[in-house]
Amino acid sequence: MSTLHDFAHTTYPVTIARAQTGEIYMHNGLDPAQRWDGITAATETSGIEVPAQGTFAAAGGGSGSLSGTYKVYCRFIDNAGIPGNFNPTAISVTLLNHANITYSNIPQPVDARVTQIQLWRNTDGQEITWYLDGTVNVGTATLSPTNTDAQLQASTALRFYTADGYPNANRFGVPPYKMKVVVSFMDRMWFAATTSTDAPSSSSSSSLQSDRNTIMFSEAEEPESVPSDNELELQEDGDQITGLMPIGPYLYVLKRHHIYRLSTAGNPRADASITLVAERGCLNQRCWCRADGMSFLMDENGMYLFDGTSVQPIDGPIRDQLTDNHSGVQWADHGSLFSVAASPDNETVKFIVAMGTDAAPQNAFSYHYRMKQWCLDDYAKDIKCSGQATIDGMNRIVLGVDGGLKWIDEDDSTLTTGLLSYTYSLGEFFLLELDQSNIRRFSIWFDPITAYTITTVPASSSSSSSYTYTHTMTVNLYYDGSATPETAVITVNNENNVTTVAGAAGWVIDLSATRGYASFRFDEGMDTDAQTRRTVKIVLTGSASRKLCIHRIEIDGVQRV
Amino acid sequence: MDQPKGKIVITDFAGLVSNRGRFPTSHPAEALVQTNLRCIRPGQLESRLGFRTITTDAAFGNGSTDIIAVYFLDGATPKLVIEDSDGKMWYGDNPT
Repeated sequence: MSTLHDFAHTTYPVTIARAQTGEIYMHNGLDPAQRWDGITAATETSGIEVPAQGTFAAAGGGSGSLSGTYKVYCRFIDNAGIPGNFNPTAISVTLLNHANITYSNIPQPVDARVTQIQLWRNTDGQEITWYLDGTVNVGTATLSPTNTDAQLQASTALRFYTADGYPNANRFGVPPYKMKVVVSFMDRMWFAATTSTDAPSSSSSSSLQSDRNTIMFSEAEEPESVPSDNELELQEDGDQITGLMPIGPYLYVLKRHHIYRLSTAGNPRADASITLVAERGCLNQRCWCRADGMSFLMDENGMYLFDGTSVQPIDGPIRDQLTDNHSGVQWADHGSLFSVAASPDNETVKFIVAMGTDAAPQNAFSYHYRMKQWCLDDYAKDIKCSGQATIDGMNRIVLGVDGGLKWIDEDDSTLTTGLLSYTYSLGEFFLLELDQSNIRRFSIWFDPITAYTITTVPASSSSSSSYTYTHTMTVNLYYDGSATPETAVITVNNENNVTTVAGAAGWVIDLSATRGYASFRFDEGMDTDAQTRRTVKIVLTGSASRKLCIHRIEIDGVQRV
Repeated sequence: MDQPKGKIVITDFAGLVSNRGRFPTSHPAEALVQTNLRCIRPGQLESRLGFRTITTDAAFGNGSTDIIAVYFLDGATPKLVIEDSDGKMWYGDNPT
């Protein structure tokens, strides 16, 4: 890995987008935006600076045929020929039978990206079209071109405005780095979600707050040309933009509680159409993703599916877990760190959130969108970002966790992350009365997991130790609403692949057994209070670093609540 | 499908359902809780797999900083762009 750039601020993670022209653009909303061509060893500042006016001056020199009143601008260009805007004010000079114009104190750039400075002059009597009168390298502050008007008109020409009246010579405005979201859409780069709205109220002004509904866009196929006129304002609705989601011919503008659809026929200044399409929103630019033609989003009210015109909540089954005051999702405190990532190969979308007292996301609500089922992933590590990549033909999710990047849901052959703890509650059941024809028995069918040897080096020792790890699963029974699992009455040593220890909670199933079947009875003989029980909740717990697979569970002597 | 009286047979495993059920218990929000187990194939409940460290062409940050942004450039030679918690942007080839 090589260092590309060092941002001063980390308040907002960068948003990265690739322009149609191939360059990568990075915005964090606080530092100057960066561009990268994918080749060079470092990024460059996005956009070319405007020359300072300084003491830039022009005067006639020598004797010749140059006569007239002229104006002159200068502008910077980089080594790829990308220009910036003209300096703020044209300098004037009146010539009478002079041989040349001598430019002095030509403004010099601050940005090392700039390599040359161009001088643009009009012809006598008009200021519509400007012509390139000369170019100097950075560091050169004087130039004395001898071009007559006729010679100048054969040089490179540049209209000040287009025929339609739009900026042309000054269309090369610097991309708005105060906007932390950048996306590519319809041959242009689009910018939104200003960080100005995050300023303390004591230092904010009315102009700062108004930016929260503003979208800016670049010139077509010029990702670094963003004139100040290239701006669209959404209606004030008490909300603020949090992201942009380009899908096909539409750019969806995501706010905290609203979604607007923006479409354009090619000239957004003239024909942009913006329509409110949904009253759900998005937490931040990283809280939406696409999978199999569907859009999955997360806002402060939960998770939902968006088809472009309407929303379909998908979080119904897990509402309690989202909204619990103590252990639920911490939308307000840590929402800026949440993210959403899809794995089309697994038909799964992961909504990565912080829950309970976690200071950063450590959980993901994982949604299988074909089976429409949820599960909760518990990572026990801070997840600061997520992404998707197609590597070796597989579409994978990658997570940024403590100190590195990890592929998710893959075999951890090195066991560096320890064992994976799991829990599965089968729910609550009514117990049937026990009689001679009725027993209570739990049976489970599974794929045996091969026992294996791991080597560990304890923190307190420099020597390693090896041991063979055998996978087990504990079945806990909670009677009549108890929060404490039932303890076994007697000790049983691996009967039907099940072990119990008198006085200890749980029935322990040996998953490394040669047979993929285990069962135990939990009525008389195993339970002194069996006749008085009325309900039982059954919970499976354990930990594994190899794939556990359960195919069938049978419970005798119970019926559904 | 009708099940034998007094026997519950589970072959299709439900996903996480945290909503309050009809039957009140002392832990109503745990009507059906599922952590790190997933149902992504009918008739099968399986543990999700773990993390696998991404291998890049060289180390970055020496594992001492968090990664706060990641971006992949797909293509014949995939490239990886990341931002660490110090604000440094990195790139590398061939993440595997």
